[in-house]
Amino acid sequence: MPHPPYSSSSPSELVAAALGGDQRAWDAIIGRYRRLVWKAVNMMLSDDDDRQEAFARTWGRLFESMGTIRDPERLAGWLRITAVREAIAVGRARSVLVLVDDDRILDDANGDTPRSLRWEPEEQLLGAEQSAAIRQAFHKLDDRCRELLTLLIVQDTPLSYAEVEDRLQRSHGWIGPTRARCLDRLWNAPEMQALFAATGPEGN
Amino acid sequence: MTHPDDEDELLRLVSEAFDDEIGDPPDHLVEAARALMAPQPRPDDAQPRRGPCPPAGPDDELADRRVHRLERRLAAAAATASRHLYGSMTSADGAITTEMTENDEGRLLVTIRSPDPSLLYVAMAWRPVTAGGTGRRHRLVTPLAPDRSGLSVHYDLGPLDGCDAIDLEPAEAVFVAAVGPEDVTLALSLATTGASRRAWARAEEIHRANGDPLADVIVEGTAP
Repeated sequence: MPHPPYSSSSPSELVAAALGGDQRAWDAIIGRYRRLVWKAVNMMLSDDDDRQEAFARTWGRLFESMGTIRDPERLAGWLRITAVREAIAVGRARSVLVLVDDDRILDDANGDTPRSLRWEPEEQLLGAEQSAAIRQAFHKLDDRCRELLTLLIVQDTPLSYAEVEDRLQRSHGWIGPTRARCLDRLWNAPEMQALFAATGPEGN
Repeated sequence: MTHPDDEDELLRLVSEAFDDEIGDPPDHLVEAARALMAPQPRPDDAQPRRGPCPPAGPDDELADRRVHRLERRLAAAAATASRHLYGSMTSADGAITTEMTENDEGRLLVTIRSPDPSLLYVAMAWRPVTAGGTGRRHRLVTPLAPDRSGLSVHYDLGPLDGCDAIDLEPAEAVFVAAVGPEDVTLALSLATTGASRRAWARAEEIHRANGDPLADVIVEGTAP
C-alpha cells in the first residue's frame, strides 16, 4: 500500500511545499499535528465550543503566518505555543480564565513550602472517574499554570526549558520553581486529594 | 517519593488523563482547517482608480475588519487652505506599520514597514470617504524590500481629489500561496516608486527560485 504524500517529509519540507500552494502538504501538516493542537486546547479550556474555536484559530494563524515562521523545523513547538495562546485568547474573551502574571500570587496561594507528592505511580492506573477528577482539577488552575504545564506536557518534539522561557518571556531558571508551585497547587486541589485519598497513594 | 520525580509522574498522570478523554479532533474541525488552503472566491478587487476620488457607492461590509478612518484636516499653514491626511497604524501583532499620508500635491501615499526580515507579502486595504458616503474598497497586496531598518515598501495611490477621509485597514502579513496573479497585476500598476520596484524584484527572485509561475507574472507586469 503506497504511503500518503509527504508522510516521511520533514516539517520544513512540509512547510515549503505548503507555501508553494500544495494542498497535500497542508493536509499532511494538519494530519500530523492535529492531535497535538487538539490536546493543547483541551488542556487549556474546559468548554467544548471554546476548544473548537481555539483549534480553528490555531490553524488559521498557521495559514496566515506560515511564510514568516523562522524555523519551520520547529513547527510542532510553534503550533503548541500558538494553540495555547489562542486558547488563552478565547478563554479571556469569555472571561473564564484567571490571569496570574505575578508569581508572588502563586507563592502566596501555596505557602512557602510545597508539599511533597506521595504515591506509587507504577500502581496507579487511571480509571475514567480518576481521569475526570484530574482534568477537573487541572482546569481550575490559573491560566499561567495551565499554559506552562500544557507546554511541558503536549510534546511532539520536546521544547527545552530555555525555549519555553524565551517564548513565555520569562527569565532563565523560572520554569523549575514555577512548575513545582503549579504542580503543588494541582496536587492540593480538593479533587486530587479526594482522588488519591480514596485510591491509596500516601499523602503527607 | 519526593520532588522532582513525583512532579514528572504527576505530569504524566495529567497527560494520561487528557489522552483518555480527547482522542482525535472532530472531523468537521479538521475539514475546516484543510479548507483554509482550498481555492476561495476572491473579493471583487477591481483596479483602483488613479483619478479623482470616486463617487460614493454601495457600502461595503467592513464590520469584521480593523478599519481606521483618517480624515483630511486643514494644514497648519491654513492660508493655503490645503488639507492633509495622516495616520500611522500597526498590524494586529504589532510587527508591521502602515503609514498613510497626503503630499503637497494632494496625492495619497502609503509606506509599509516591518523589522521582520522573513516577511514577504503583506496586504492592506483602503476605501475613500466622500460627503456622499463611502466608496469602493481597494486592496493592495505587495512584497517588501530590505532597507536599513528591516523591510519596507512605498506606493503612490493617486490623487485624493474629492475625498474627505480614507478608511484604512492597516497591512497584515499574508500567506504567500494566497497571492494570485491579479494581486500582482494590480499592485504593479501602482508600483512606480523605487522601493516598490525593488520589493517586486525581490519577490520575483524568490518565486523564481521556487519554480513558482508567479515569477513570470511579475516579469510581465514590470516589462516596459
